[in-house]
Amino acid sequence: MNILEVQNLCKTYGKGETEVRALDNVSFSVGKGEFISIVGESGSGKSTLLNVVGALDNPTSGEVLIDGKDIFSMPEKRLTVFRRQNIGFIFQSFNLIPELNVEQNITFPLLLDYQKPDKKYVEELLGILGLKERRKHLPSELSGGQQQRVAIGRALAARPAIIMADEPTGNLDSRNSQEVITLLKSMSAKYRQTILMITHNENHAEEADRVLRMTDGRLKDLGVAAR
Amino acid sequence: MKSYLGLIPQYERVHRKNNRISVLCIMLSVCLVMAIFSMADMAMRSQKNYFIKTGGEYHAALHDVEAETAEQVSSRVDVDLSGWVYQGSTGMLSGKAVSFVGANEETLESLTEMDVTDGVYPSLPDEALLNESAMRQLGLSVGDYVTVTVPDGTQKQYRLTGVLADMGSMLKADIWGMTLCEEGFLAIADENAADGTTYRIQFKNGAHIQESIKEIKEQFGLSDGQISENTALLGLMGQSESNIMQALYLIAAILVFLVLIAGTVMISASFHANVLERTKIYGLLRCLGASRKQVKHFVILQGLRQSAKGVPIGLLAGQIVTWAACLLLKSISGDRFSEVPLFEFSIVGILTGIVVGFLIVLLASLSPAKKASRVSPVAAISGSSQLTQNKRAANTKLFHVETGMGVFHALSGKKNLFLMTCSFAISIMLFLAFQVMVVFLNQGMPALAPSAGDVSITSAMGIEPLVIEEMEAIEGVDLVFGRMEYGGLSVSSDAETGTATLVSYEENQFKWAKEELNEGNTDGVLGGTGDILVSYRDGMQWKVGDAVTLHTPLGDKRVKIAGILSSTNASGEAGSLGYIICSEGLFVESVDAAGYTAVDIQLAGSGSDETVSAIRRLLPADTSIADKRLSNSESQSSYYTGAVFIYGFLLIIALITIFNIFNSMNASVAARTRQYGVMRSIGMGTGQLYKMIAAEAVTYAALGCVTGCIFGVPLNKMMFQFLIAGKWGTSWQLPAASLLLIVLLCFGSVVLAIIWPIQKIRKLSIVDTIKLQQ
Repeated sequence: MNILEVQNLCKTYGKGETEVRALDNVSFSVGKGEFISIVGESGSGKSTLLNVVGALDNPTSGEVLIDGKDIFSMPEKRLTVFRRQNIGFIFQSFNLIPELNVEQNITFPLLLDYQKPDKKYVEELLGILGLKERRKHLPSELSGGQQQRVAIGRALAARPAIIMADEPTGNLDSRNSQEVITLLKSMSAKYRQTILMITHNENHAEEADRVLRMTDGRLKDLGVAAR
Repeated sequence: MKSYLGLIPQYERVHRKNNRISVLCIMLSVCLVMAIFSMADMAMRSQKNYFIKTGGEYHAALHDVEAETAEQVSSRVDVDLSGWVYQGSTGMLSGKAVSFVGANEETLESLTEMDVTDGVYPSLPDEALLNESAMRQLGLSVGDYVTVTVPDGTQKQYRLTGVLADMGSMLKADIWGMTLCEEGFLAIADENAADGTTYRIQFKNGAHIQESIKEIKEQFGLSDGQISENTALLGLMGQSESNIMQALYLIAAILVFLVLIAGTVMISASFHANVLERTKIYGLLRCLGASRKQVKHFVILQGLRQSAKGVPIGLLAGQIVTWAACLLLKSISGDRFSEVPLFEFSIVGILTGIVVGFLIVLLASLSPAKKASRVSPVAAISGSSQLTQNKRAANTKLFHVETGMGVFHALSGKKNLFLMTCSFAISIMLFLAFQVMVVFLNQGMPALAPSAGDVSITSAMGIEPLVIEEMEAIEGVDLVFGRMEYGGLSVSSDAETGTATLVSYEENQFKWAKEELNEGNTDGVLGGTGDILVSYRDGMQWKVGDAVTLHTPLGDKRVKIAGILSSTNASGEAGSLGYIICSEGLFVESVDAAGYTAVDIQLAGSGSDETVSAIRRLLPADTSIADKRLSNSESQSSYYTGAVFIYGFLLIIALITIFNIFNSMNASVAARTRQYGVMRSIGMGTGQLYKMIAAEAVTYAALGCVTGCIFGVPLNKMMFQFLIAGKWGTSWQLPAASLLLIVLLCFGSVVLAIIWPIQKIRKLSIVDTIKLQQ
């Protein structure tokens, strides 16, 4: 079953001569538990695609169905709740909440939902992420790699339908980058977690189940990564 | 660009909005300080003019001294002007009392409240000035002769050389005034003249008046009673040693201090707001090789440029506010507020405005420079330095996560928290401090009661109701209401027995009495004959509902107390049990009344001297007619002057509070916009975002209100005890209504302050806000 269906997605900026087609009739689908990477040049529309699919931005036209639900037909309030419960984000610059410690950052989406975090699951996540010892630390007390691991934990906390990772290794050194990719891959396998990852690094892209390439707003499925 | 400092205007051009907000803050602070100081200056000038007008411009007066002493005092180097003012002797003119004054021309014009409106000053002993209303009522004009019964009972003829301006005190007492030259007065003076006569002294500018008074006292061996100071005038000149004036000086000093702090906090808060952004540019400068000294120069010049824009506009705005307040008073009544200066400049106000504007800006703008020098240049330009380097995590257990984070945002930035708490607290303290001034105003110069008459008539013989109807028919008369009074009425009850003065009210007076009601009600008293009202007195045993027996000349009457009044407008003396107010029906049933003992008349806007003359013509000659128009308007003008200025200050303070909170919240939200974007991307709803911002603002407000109350209430109490308790014996009470008002205003301004930033965030797309970070 497909967890994500993208149909004829278009996104244009500007009008007339200055019009830029950031997304040009993009269609693809992702099955549950798939780990997809999207590669492409700077300005090819990767981030726009991720933002639109992740319901952070609106498309000019087209449809996005997550778990069978058309996300852009939802009113703003419902969409926020839907995003909170079904979409996890991992950013290049981590974007942790500086006022919250590691554990609070991880459980933040659940707290926003006024849910009591599942202690066992949180413990498990902290264990997998190697952050058990640092659970009470603030982001400013962590290394870049550790911060990104917290961000991964946060994205997983609500057990979302899909995780969007926008160049999660962009700010990390090669050792930490590899660690993060390995972690994402194992999470995808362990929890059957669907992950959509943008990356510049061809090697990292190849770790995914499938690779998509963006060129000038158009998407091409490169198929199963050759390994 | 000739030097690195040329970057400043370019930087300002790019950050136009922030620059504008800083300039606006400077402008408002300067406006606040300048307006408050200028308005205070203008209020003092108008009060000084008023005191000079109603008391004369003398600083000290000698009583019961020899001519030789006076001579020696006048030759002192620090004495500018001095002269004898002879008073105290009275005579009769056309059946009415006339009060004599003797002085030379210069003394009368400079050292007394009296003015010559027409003609020339009398130079011979048989020449005189007569007051305006006497001239009019007697149909006299300058050059006429008038025969007056002088103090020794003989008749003396005077030639009228001029007209003396009417004075409120004279009209109120229903007497006439006659001014003679010194010899003229001495020729008719009796033993009463010794009491009323003073030798008045005006010292030169810059003289230390208190020291001079002390010297004169020691040099001539004068007792305390022989030398007195003109407290009101000296008080406004800052030269009084009287207790109330000293208390006022202290209060003024506290208010000045608070106003300066308010200005400082406001400018500092606005500069602190864009500290992060400034830190970045200073860090960049350091990165490119600027020395710390160069960064400092950059900062100082930047601050001065903003001051150079903000201070003149602030001064102009402050001047406009001050003039507007003066114009407002003048527009209420040009005659009444003739002493209020119009379109005058206050040097004190302008100077404090300039000093505050430039000095505080420099102090405030040095803080980003310090911060920039502390962080490494790399960290400063990378922008990776967090808004706050938190030492502990937010508490998400006590509240929902968004509320907890909002509270944490407020509490985590120590400097910001301090400035915000201060700005709320100072607003509350200023408000509470000025609240005492309002009470002082109400106590010291009360506004006219609605029942105050423009003309009051008292007659022992009684005034017939028919006369009242005739008076009502006179053009320019608005309302006429009379009271019948009967003193020494024997009254008994279970609780107390004694005498009381029985007073009858009519409809209007009962209506006004409702305002004076301490307890009970007046409704049953007006129409019925079984209920009465009593006046409050210390140690009173009577309660509402008590039965009282009136032992009236027409038999005993048993009545019930329906209400207790805080004050009455009876004119007769109170009995041992105070006043008993009843309906006219009950009064007539109890006492064989001949008519109204006292009648008050309120004039319509068209009421003039002619109206008062018409009233006089209806009454027998022996009736006492007090024309209170002038004295009423004098006390009204003092009240309104005070009220306009004090409420003006309060309005400015309230505006400052709102602006300060608005500005700080806006800055706080702007600084966290990126973070808000991230939170929204993770799934925070807009409602939750609002809650977070509101929680932050409410935390500031709550802390500010608590701090403001902790410092403000004792300040209020202290000022109250200094200014009011000592003088009027009123006990201090928590100013609950004022407190509630300012707290509501603070929370109201919080609501206003967060609406705009919230709207701004709502308009920003999540993607755009996150991009800010990347």
